[in-house]
Amino acid sequence: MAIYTGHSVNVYPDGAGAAVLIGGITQMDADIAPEINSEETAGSPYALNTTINALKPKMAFSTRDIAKAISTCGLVGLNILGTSNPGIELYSAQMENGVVKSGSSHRKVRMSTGRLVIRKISISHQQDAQADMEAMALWDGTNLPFIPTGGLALPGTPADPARYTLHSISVGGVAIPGVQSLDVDFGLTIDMFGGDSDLYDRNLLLSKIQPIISFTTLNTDLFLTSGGVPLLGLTGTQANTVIKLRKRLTGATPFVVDGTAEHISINTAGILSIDKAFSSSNNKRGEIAYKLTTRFDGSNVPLVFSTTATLS
Amino acid sequence: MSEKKEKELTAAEVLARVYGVGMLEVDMMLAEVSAQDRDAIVAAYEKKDCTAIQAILDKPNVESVEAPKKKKSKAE
Repeated sequence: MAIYTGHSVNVYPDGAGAAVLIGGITQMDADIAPEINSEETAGSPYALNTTINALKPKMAFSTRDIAKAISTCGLVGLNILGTSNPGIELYSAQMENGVVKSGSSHRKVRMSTGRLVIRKISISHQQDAQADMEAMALWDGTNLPFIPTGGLALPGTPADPARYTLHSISVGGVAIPGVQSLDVDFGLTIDMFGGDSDLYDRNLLLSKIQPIISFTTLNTDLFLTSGGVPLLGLTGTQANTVIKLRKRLTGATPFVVDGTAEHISINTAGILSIDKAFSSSNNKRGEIAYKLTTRFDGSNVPLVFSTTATLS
Repeated sequence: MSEKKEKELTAAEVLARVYGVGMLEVDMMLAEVSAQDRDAIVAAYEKKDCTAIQAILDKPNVESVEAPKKKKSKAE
Protein backbone atom coordinates (compact mmCIF):
# COMPACT_ATOMS: atom_id res chain seq x y z
CA MET A 1 0.00 0.00 0.00
CA ALA A 2 1.42 3.32 -1.02
CA ILE A 3 1.14 6.23 1.38
CA TYR A 4 1.37 9.85 0.30
CA THR A 5 1.79 13.12 2.19
CA GLY A 6 1.12 16.63 1.04
CA HIS A 7 4.18 18.27 -0.50
CA SER A 8 3.75 21.58 -2.32
CA VAL A 9 1.75 23.59 -4.80
CA ASN A 10 3.41 24.60 -8.03
CA VAL A 11 1.89 27.64 -9.75
CA TYR A 12 2.97 28.10 -13.35
CA PRO A 13 0.37 29.64 -15.65
CA ASP A 14 1.02 30.69 -19.24
CA GLY A 15 2.87 33.99 -19.44
CA ALA A 16 4.64 33.60 -16.12
CA GLY A 17 8.40 33.90 -16.27
CA ALA A 18 8.97 30.95 -13.96
CA ALA A 19 7.11 28.51 -11.76
CA VAL A 20 6.25 29.59 -8.21
CA LEU A 21 6.56 26.73 -5.77
CA ILE A 22 4.48 27.47 -2.70
CA GLY A 23 5.71 25.81 0.46
CA GLY A 24 4.95 26.31 4.15
CA ILE A 25 1.74 24.38 3.57
CA THR A 26 -0.27 23.34 6.59
CA GLN A 27 -3.32 21.91 4.81
CA MET A 28 -4.09 20.89 1.24
CA ASP A 29 -7.20 19.50 -0.40
CA ALA A 30 -8.13 18.58 -3.94
CA ASP A 31 -11.93 18.56 -3.83
CA ILE A 32 -13.91 17.04 -6.67
CA ALA A 33 -17.29 17.97 -5.15
CA PRO A 34 -19.55 15.80 -7.30
CA GLU A 35 -23.25 16.54 -7.42
CA ILE A 36 -24.99 13.20 -7.80
CA ASN A 37 -28.71 13.08 -8.44
CA SER A 38 -30.40 10.20 -6.72
CA GLU A 39 -34.15 10.63 -6.68
CA GLU A 40 -36.81 8.23 -5.61
CA THR A 41 -40.02 8.34 -7.63
CA ALA A 42 -43.55 7.08 -7.11
CA GLY A 43 -43.78 3.36 -6.55
CA SER A 44 -40.31 2.84 -5.08
CA PRO A 45 -38.58 4.19 -2.00
CA TYR A 46 -35.30 3.48 -3.76
CA ALA A 47 -33.63 5.60 -6.39
CA LEU A 48 -33.59 3.63 -9.62
CA ASN A 49 -31.33 6.13 -11.35
CA THR A 50 -28.22 7.75 -10.00
CA THR A 51 -26.76 10.31 -12.33
CA ILE A 52 -23.91 12.76 -12.26
CA ASN A 53 -25.18 16.30 -12.59
CA ALA A 54 -22.03 18.30 -11.98
CA LEU A 55 -18.48 18.25 -10.73
CA LYS A 56 -17.03 21.35 -9.05
CA PRO A 57 -13.33 20.64 -8.66
CA LYS A 58 -11.27 23.02 -6.59
CA MET A 59 -7.99 23.02 -4.73
CA ALA A 60 -7.84 24.49 -1.26
CA PHE A 61 -4.67 24.93 0.71
CA SER A 62 -3.23 26.99 3.55
CA THR A 63 0.29 28.33 3.72
CA ARG A 64 2.50 30.14 6.21
CA ASP A 65 4.38 31.71 3.30
CA ILE A 66 1.98 34.62 3.07
CA ALA A 67 4.48 36.87 1.27
CA LYS A 68 4.57 34.43 -1.62
CA ALA A 69 0.81 34.02 -1.52
CA ILE A 70 0.36 37.79 -1.69
CA SER A 71 2.88 38.33 -4.47
CA THR A 72 1.32 35.49 -6.46
CA CYS A 73 -2.33 36.43 -6.07
CA GLY A 74 -2.74 39.99 -4.82
CA LEU A 75 -6.29 40.87 -3.89
CA VAL A 76 -8.17 39.63 -6.96
CA GLY A 77 -6.24 36.43 -7.59
CA LEU A 78 -4.37 34.96 -10.51
CA ASN A 79 -5.88 33.83 -13.78
CA ILE A 80 -4.75 30.29 -14.49
CA LEU A 81 -4.34 29.19 -18.06
CA GLY A 82 -2.09 26.21 -18.57
CA THR A 83 -1.66 25.39 -22.24
CA SER A 84 2.08 25.85 -22.69
CA ASN A 85 2.73 25.70 -18.93
CA PRO A 86 1.20 23.34 -16.37
CA GLY A 87 -1.20 25.78 -14.63
CA ILE A 88 -1.43 24.67 -11.00
CA GLU A 89 -0.08 21.38 -9.68
CA LEU A 90 -0.79 20.01 -6.24
CA TYR A 91 1.98 17.56 -5.41
CA SER A 92 1.85 14.66 -2.96
CA ALA A 93 4.97 12.74 -2.00
CA GLN A 94 5.06 8.97 -1.65
CA MET A 95 6.47 7.76 1.65
CA GLU A 96 8.64 4.71 2.14
CA ASN A 97 9.79 3.50 5.55
CA GLY A 98 8.51 6.70 7.07
CA VAL A 99 10.33 9.14 4.78
CA VAL A 100 9.98 10.52 1.27
CA LYS A 101 10.67 7.83 -1.29
CA SER A 102 13.48 8.59 -3.69
CA GLY A 103 12.95 8.66 -7.42
CA SER A 104 9.87 9.17 -9.55
CA SER A 105 7.04 7.68 -7.57
CA HIS A 106 5.14 10.78 -6.55
CA ARG A 107 1.84 12.20 -7.68
CA LYS A 108 0.19 15.42 -8.68
CA VAL A 109 -3.23 16.74 -9.50
CA ARG A 110 -3.04 19.35 -12.23
CA MET A 111 -5.51 22.12 -12.92
CA SER A 112 -4.99 23.75 -16.30
CA THR A 113 -7.69 26.42 -16.26
CA GLY A 114 -9.27 28.47 -13.49
CA ARG A 115 -8.40 31.05 -10.90
CA LEU A 116 -6.24 31.03 -7.78
CA VAL A 117 -7.23 33.38 -4.96
CA ILE A 118 -6.50 34.10 -1.33
CA ARG A 119 -9.65 33.73 0.73
CA LYS A 120 -8.35 34.89 4.09
CA ILE A 121 -5.26 35.79 6.07
CA SER A 122 -5.52 35.12 9.79
CA ILE A 123 -3.15 35.80 12.65
CA SER A 124 -3.27 35.69 16.44
CA HIS A 125 -1.08 37.24 19.11
CA GLN A 126 2.32 35.51 19.09
CA GLN A 127 1.14 33.05 16.44
CA ASP A 128 2.15 32.77 12.80
CA ALA A 129 0.06 34.23 10.01
CA GLN A 130 -1.61 31.88 7.58
CA ALA A 131 -3.17 32.43 4.16
CA ASP A 132 -6.09 30.26 3.11
CA MET A 133 -6.05 29.87 -0.67
CA GLU A 134 -8.42 28.37 -3.19
CA ALA A 135 -8.19 27.50 -6.86
CA MET A 136 -11.46 26.85 -8.65
CA ALA A 137 -11.16 24.80 -11.84
CA LEU A 138 -12.80 25.41 -15.19
CA TRP A 139 -13.22 23.17 -18.20
CA ASP A 140 -11.70 24.51 -21.40
CA GLY A 141 -13.63 22.10 -23.58
CA THR A 142 -10.67 19.76 -24.01
CA ASN A 143 -8.63 19.28 -20.86
CA LEU A 144 -10.40 17.90 -17.83
CA PRO A 145 -10.51 20.32 -14.88
CA PHE A 146 -8.39 17.97 -12.76
CA ILE A 147 -5.79 15.68 -14.28
CA PRO A 148 -4.14 13.17 -11.92
CA THR A 149 -0.67 11.90 -12.80
CA GLY A 150 1.61 9.44 -11.03
CA GLY A 151 5.20 8.28 -11.38
CA LEU A 152 6.64 11.77 -11.02
CA ALA A 153 9.71 13.33 -9.48
CA LEU A 154 8.97 16.02 -6.92
CA PRO A 155 9.31 19.63 -8.14
CA GLY A 156 12.10 20.45 -5.70
CA THR A 157 12.11 21.17 -2.01
CA PRO A 158 9.37 23.65 -1.17
CA ALA A 159 10.83 26.76 0.35
CA ASP A 160 9.45 27.64 3.74
CA PRO A 161 11.36 30.84 4.15
CA ALA A 162 9.56 32.91 6.71
CA ARG A 163 6.89 33.34 9.31
CA TYR A 164 4.96 36.55 9.90
CA THR A 165 3.03 37.69 12.93
CA LEU A 166 1.18 40.74 14.23
CA HIS A 167 2.86 44.10 14.57
CA SER A 168 0.45 47.05 14.57
CA ILE A 169 -2.85 48.44 13.38
CA SER A 170 -3.54 52.09 12.73
CA VAL A 171 -6.87 53.35 11.40
CA GLY A 172 -7.51 56.96 10.48
CA GLY A 173 -4.23 57.82 12.16
CA VAL A 174 -5.35 56.28 15.46
CA ALA A 175 -3.05 53.53 16.71
CA ILE A 176 -5.00 50.56 18.07
CA PRO A 177 -2.76 48.60 20.46
CA GLY A 178 -3.14 45.26 22.21
CA VAL A 179 -4.28 43.28 19.16
CA GLN A 180 -5.18 39.68 19.99
CA SER A 181 -6.40 38.36 16.66
CA LEU A 182 -6.77 39.58 13.12
CA ASP A 183 -8.70 38.19 10.16
CA VAL A 184 -8.41 39.71 6.70
CA ASP A 185 -11.30 38.27 4.73
CA PHE A 186 -10.74 39.07 1.05
CA GLY A 187 -14.52 39.02 0.48
CA LEU A 188 -14.37 37.57 -3.03
CA THR A 189 -17.70 36.48 -4.44
CA ILE A 190 -16.91 34.23 -7.38
CA ASP A 191 -19.81 33.06 -9.51
CA MET A 192 -19.21 29.94 -11.59
CA PHE A 193 -21.01 29.39 -14.89
CA GLY A 194 -21.66 26.51 -17.21
CA GLY A 195 -24.30 25.69 -19.80
CA ASP A 196 -25.85 23.04 -21.99
CA SER A 197 -25.82 20.71 -18.99
CA ASP A 198 -22.07 20.31 -19.30
CA LEU A 199 -20.74 18.69 -16.16
CA TYR A 200 -18.11 21.34 -15.56
CA ASP A 201 -18.18 25.09 -15.24
CA ARG A 202 -16.61 26.92 -18.16
CA ASN A 203 -16.43 30.48 -16.87
CA LEU A 204 -16.31 32.49 -13.69
CA LEU A 205 -17.00 36.02 -12.57
CA LEU A 206 -15.62 38.04 -9.69
CA SER A 207 -18.99 39.64 -9.07
CA LYS A 208 -18.14 41.30 -5.75
CA ILE A 209 -14.95 42.16 -3.91
CA GLN A 210 -15.67 43.38 -0.39
CA PRO A 211 -12.78 42.78 1.97
CA ILE A 212 -13.59 42.89 5.67
CA ILE A 213 -10.91 43.16 8.33
CA SER A 214 -11.91 41.93 11.78
CA PHE A 215 -9.77 42.16 14.88
CA THR A 216 -9.96 42.08 18.65
CA THR A 217 -7.85 43.98 21.18
CA LEU A 218 -7.47 44.19 24.92
CA ASN A 219 -7.70 47.98 25.04
CA THR A 220 -11.42 48.41 25.56
CA ASP A 221 -10.79 51.97 26.74
CA LEU A 222 -10.31 53.07 23.14
CA PHE A 223 -14.11 53.28 22.77
CA LEU A 224 -14.44 57.02 23.35
CA THR A 225 -16.72 59.87 22.44
CA SER A 226 -13.74 61.59 20.86
CA GLY A 227 -10.07 60.87 20.34
CA GLY A 228 -10.41 57.11 20.01
CA VAL A 229 -13.02 55.11 18.14
CA PRO A 230 -16.46 56.70 18.65
CA LEU A 231 -19.89 55.08 18.46
CA LEU A 232 -20.32 55.93 14.78
CA GLY A 233 -16.90 54.55 13.92
CA LEU A 234 -13.77 55.96 12.42
CA THR A 235 -13.04 56.74 8.79
CA GLY A 236 -9.72 55.62 7.40
CA THR A 237 -7.97 56.44 4.15
CA GLN A 238 -5.19 54.65 2.31
CA ALA A 239 -2.79 57.30 3.60
CA ASN A 240 -3.56 56.85 7.30
CA THR A 241 -4.79 53.28 7.65
CA VAL A 242 -2.30 50.46 7.72
CA ILE A 243 -1.90 46.99 9.20
CA LYS A 244 1.66 45.81 9.60
CA LEU A 245 2.89 42.27 10.00
CA ARG A 246 6.38 41.59 11.22
CA LYS A 247 8.65 39.00 9.77
CA ARG A 248 10.17 36.49 12.14
CA LEU A 249 13.70 35.21 12.05
CA THR A 250 14.70 31.65 12.70
CA GLY A 251 17.06 31.55 15.68
CA ALA A 252 17.68 33.55 18.80
CA THR A 253 16.85 36.90 17.20
CA PRO A 254 13.07 36.87 17.08
CA PHE A 255 12.34 39.38 14.32
CA VAL A 256 13.86 40.94 11.23
CA VAL A 257 15.12 44.42 12.07
CA ASP A 258 12.34 47.01 11.81
CA GLY A 259 14.15 49.07 9.20
CA THR A 260 14.74 46.15 6.86
CA ALA A 261 12.24 46.14 4.02
CA GLU A 262 11.03 42.56 4.46
CA HIS A 263 7.89 43.05 6.52
CA ILE A 264 4.33 43.16 5.20
CA SER A 265 1.96 46.11 5.15
CA ILE A 266 -1.69 46.26 4.18
CA ASN A 267 -3.03 49.73 3.44
CA THR A 268 -6.75 50.17 3.21
CA ALA A 269 -9.59 52.68 3.27
CA GLY A 270 -12.99 52.34 4.86
CA ILE A 271 -14.96 52.59 8.06
CA LEU A 272 -13.82 51.06 11.30
CA SER A 273 -16.81 50.17 13.43
CA ILE A 274 -16.94 48.61 16.85
CA ASP A 275 -18.66 45.27 16.67
CA LYS A 276 -18.57 44.63 20.41
CA ALA A 277 -17.51 47.43 22.73
CA PHE A 278 -16.88 45.00 25.56
CA SER A 279 -16.96 41.25 25.81
CA SER A 280 -15.96 39.17 28.80
CA SER A 281 -16.89 36.00 30.61
CA ASN A 282 -16.60 35.08 34.30
CA ASN A 283 -13.72 37.00 35.81
CA LYS A 284 -11.71 37.02 32.61
CA ARG A 285 -10.24 40.03 30.88
CA GLY A 286 -12.46 41.87 28.44
CA GLU A 287 -11.95 42.43 24.73
CA ILE A 288 -13.19 44.88 22.14
CA ALA A 289 -14.04 43.62 18.66
CA TYR A 290 -13.68 45.79 15.57
CA LYS A 291 -14.76 45.44 11.97
CA LEU A 292 -13.15 47.46 9.19
CA THR A 293 -15.35 47.55 6.10
CA THR A 294 -13.09 48.54 3.24
CA ARG A 295 -13.76 50.41 0.02
CA PHE A 296 -12.18 51.26 -3.33
CA ASP A 297 -11.10 54.90 -3.18
CA GLY A 298 -11.03 55.47 -6.93
CA SER A 299 -7.38 54.70 -7.53
CA ASN A 300 -6.42 52.08 -4.94
CA VAL A 301 -8.05 48.68 -4.51
CA PRO A 302 -9.38 48.06 -0.98
CA LEU A 303 -6.32 46.09 0.12
CA VAL A 304 -2.94 47.38 -1.03
CA PHE A 305 -0.14 45.00 -0.06
CA SER A 306 3.55 45.50 0.25
CA THR A 307 5.89 42.62 1.00
CA THR A 308 8.83 45.02 1.26
CA ALA A 309 7.58 47.22 4.07
CA THR A 310 9.53 48.56 7.01
CA LEU A 311 8.17 48.88 10.55
CA SER A 312 8.07 52.11 12.49
CA MET B 1 1.94 57.02 3.66
CA SER B 2 3.73 60.22 2.91
CA GLU B 3 3.68 62.16 -0.35
CA LYS B 4 7.36 61.32 -0.75
CA LYS B 5 6.59 57.59 -0.66
CA GLU B 6 3.87 57.97 -3.32
CA LYS B 7 6.45 59.47 -5.71
CA GLU B 8 8.79 56.55 -5.15
CA LEU B 9 6.26 54.03 -6.44
CA THR B 10 7.21 51.91 -9.41
CA ALA B 11 4.94 51.07 -12.31
CA ALA B 12 4.64 47.54 -10.93
CA GLU B 13 3.45 48.82 -7.56
CA VAL B 14 0.99 51.14 -9.27
CA LEU B 15 -0.58 48.28 -11.24
CA ALA B 16 -0.87 46.22 -8.06
CA ARG B 17 -2.65 49.13 -6.38
CA VAL B 18 -4.98 49.92 -9.26
CA TYR B 19 -5.86 46.39 -10.40
CA GLY B 20 -5.37 44.42 -7.20
CA VAL B 21 -3.28 41.76 -8.91
CA GLY B 22 -0.18 40.11 -7.53
CA MET B 23 3.34 40.76 -8.72
CA LEU B 24 3.31 37.59 -10.82
CA GLU B 25 0.54 39.02 -12.99
CA VAL B 26 2.00 42.53 -12.83
CA ASP B 27 5.19 41.20 -14.40
CA MET B 28 3.12 39.71 -17.21
CA MET B 29 1.25 43.00 -17.70
CA LEU B 30 4.49 44.97 -17.89
CA ALA B 31 6.40 42.47 -20.03
CA GLU B 32 6.05 44.53 -23.20
CA VAL B 33 5.68 48.00 -21.69
CA SER B 34 8.57 50.35 -22.42
CA ALA B 35 10.48 52.25 -19.76
CA GLN B 36 8.90 55.48 -21.00
CA ASP B 37 5.40 54.05 -20.67
CA ARG B 38 6.21 52.75 -17.20
CA ASP B 39 7.04 56.30 -16.17
CA ALA B 40 3.78 57.41 -17.76
CA ILE B 41 1.89 54.84 -15.69
CA VAL B 42 3.36 56.26 -12.48
CA ALA B 43 2.61 59.81 -13.61
CA ALA B 44 -1.00 58.88 -14.44
CA TYR B 45 -1.43 57.27 -11.03
CA GLU B 46 -0.20 60.41 -9.29
CA LYS B 47 -2.97 62.28 -11.15
CA LYS B 48 -5.43 59.53 -10.11
CA ASP B 49 -6.09 58.93 -13.81
CA CYS B 50 -6.77 55.20 -13.99
CA THR B 51 -8.23 55.55 -17.51
CA ALA B 52 -4.86 56.76 -18.76
CA ILE B 53 -3.15 53.77 -17.16
CA GLN B 54 -5.49 51.40 -18.96
CA ALA B 55 -4.88 53.25 -22.23
CA ILE B 56 -1.12 52.76 -21.85
CA LEU B 57 -1.57 49.06 -21.21
CA ASP B 58 -3.89 48.76 -24.21
CA LYS B 59 -1.41 50.41 -26.57
CA PRO B 60 -0.10 48.07 -29.25
CA ASN B 61 3.58 47.35 -28.75
CA VAL B 62 5.34 49.43 -31.39
CA GLU B 63 8.59 47.47 -31.32
CA SER B 64 6.90 44.12 -31.80
CA VAL B 65 4.91 45.46 -34.77
CA GLU B 66 7.96 46.94 -36.46
CA ALA B 67 10.28 43.98 -35.90
CA PRO B 68 8.86 41.73 -38.67
CA LYS B 69 9.22 44.57 -41.23
CA LYS B 70 12.93 44.91 -40.50
CA LYS B 71 13.43 41.18 -40.89
CA LYS B 72 11.57 41.26 -44.18
CA SER B 73 13.76 44.06 -45.61
CA LYS B 74 16.92 42.16 -44.60
CA ALA B 75 15.69 39.05 -46.44
CA GLU B 76 14.98 41.09 -49.51
